[in-house]
Amino acid sequence: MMRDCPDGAMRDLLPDFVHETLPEAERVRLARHLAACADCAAEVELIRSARAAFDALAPAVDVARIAASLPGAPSPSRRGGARLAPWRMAAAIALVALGGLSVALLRGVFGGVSDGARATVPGVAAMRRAGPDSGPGAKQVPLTPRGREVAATRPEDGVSFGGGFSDLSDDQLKTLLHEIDVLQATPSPEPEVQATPIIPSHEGGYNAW
Amino acid sequence: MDVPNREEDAAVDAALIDRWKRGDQRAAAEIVNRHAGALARFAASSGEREEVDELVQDTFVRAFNSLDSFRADSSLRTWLFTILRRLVLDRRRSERRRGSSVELEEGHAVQAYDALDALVADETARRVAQAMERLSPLQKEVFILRVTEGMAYGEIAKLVGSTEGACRVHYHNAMRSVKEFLDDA
Repeated sequence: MMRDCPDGAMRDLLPDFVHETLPEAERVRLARHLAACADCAAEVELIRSARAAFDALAPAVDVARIAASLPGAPSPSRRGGARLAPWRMAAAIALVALGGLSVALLRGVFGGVSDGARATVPGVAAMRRAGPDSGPGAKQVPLTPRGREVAATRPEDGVSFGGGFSDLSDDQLKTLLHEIDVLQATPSPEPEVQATPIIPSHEGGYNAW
Repeated sequence: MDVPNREEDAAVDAALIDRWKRGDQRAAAEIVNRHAGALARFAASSGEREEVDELVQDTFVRAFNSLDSFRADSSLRTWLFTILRRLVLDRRRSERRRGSSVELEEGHAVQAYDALDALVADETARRVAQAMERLSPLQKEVFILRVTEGMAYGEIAKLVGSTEGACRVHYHNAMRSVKEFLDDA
């Protein structure tokens, strides 16, 4: 009948004793205990048997084949913070310079306004269509008066930016002015005058609060 | 067998990793040589019979693929065992889904010792291995790591995702169960 030694601290160390990983002082102390404790001595033998059993179960491993299948160490350039190679640095600078030159050329050719800036804004048209005046008879007013732009932009497409109002017909101007009138969110051009109380001070003057 | 203490072990591993990072491929072979046997033993003891070699190889390949970012807050050995354990569990889950695997739940002993008579000559060792069938998977893992590898409870706890105290309890319960089996036999 195998029993457990009542000294749990000693029993805890038995595998370490078998593996010879105990510090010398502890190993000597445990060896003395084993000489006097049949339960712990039996448990040590049990641990050795179990270890032998598991050793026997393990197949041999082809270390050379495994080592050959491993990836190589990462090169320094793969690691974070690595410096760019000189040719990469030069390519990056050239790319940035080319981009800048392209923008400058485009601005020169198109007079500072690209076609994209004249693009219509469908969202505004949709907002207007959903507005209070957007009945079946409501007329869409293009805010771009220049003929070529108005021609390129159907009224239902919305608003295009740029140009004045000189090309608008009377009806269009009336509708536009009416829409401006009904806009509530427009801030007042006049600054609000805030009433500041003037309170007499003890020194005989006035303090503004 | 001359087993260096754990601090020396970890220091040797750290030096080998450093050598490998600096491009010395022989350091990788040394790391494999140091740990492959223990990993194979753990895989086989856990019930893996076939493709242990492949499991160990997969463990090292995975480890070396991320070794560049390995930080020494745990030992290399613990890390390798953790990878292997995950591979074993993944393999069993996929086998179980296919309906061809052993059960992993508590109370279902792993029938992994069929060929034991041929493998283990020593009678006591053979019976100890048979006694393992009575243990729960976690008890068995803790027992194997403690007995075959001499791992400390703290290291085992990191590996199996438990606490040091729980691992100590698992080990002593497993030891008691093995003793009872041997007494009954």
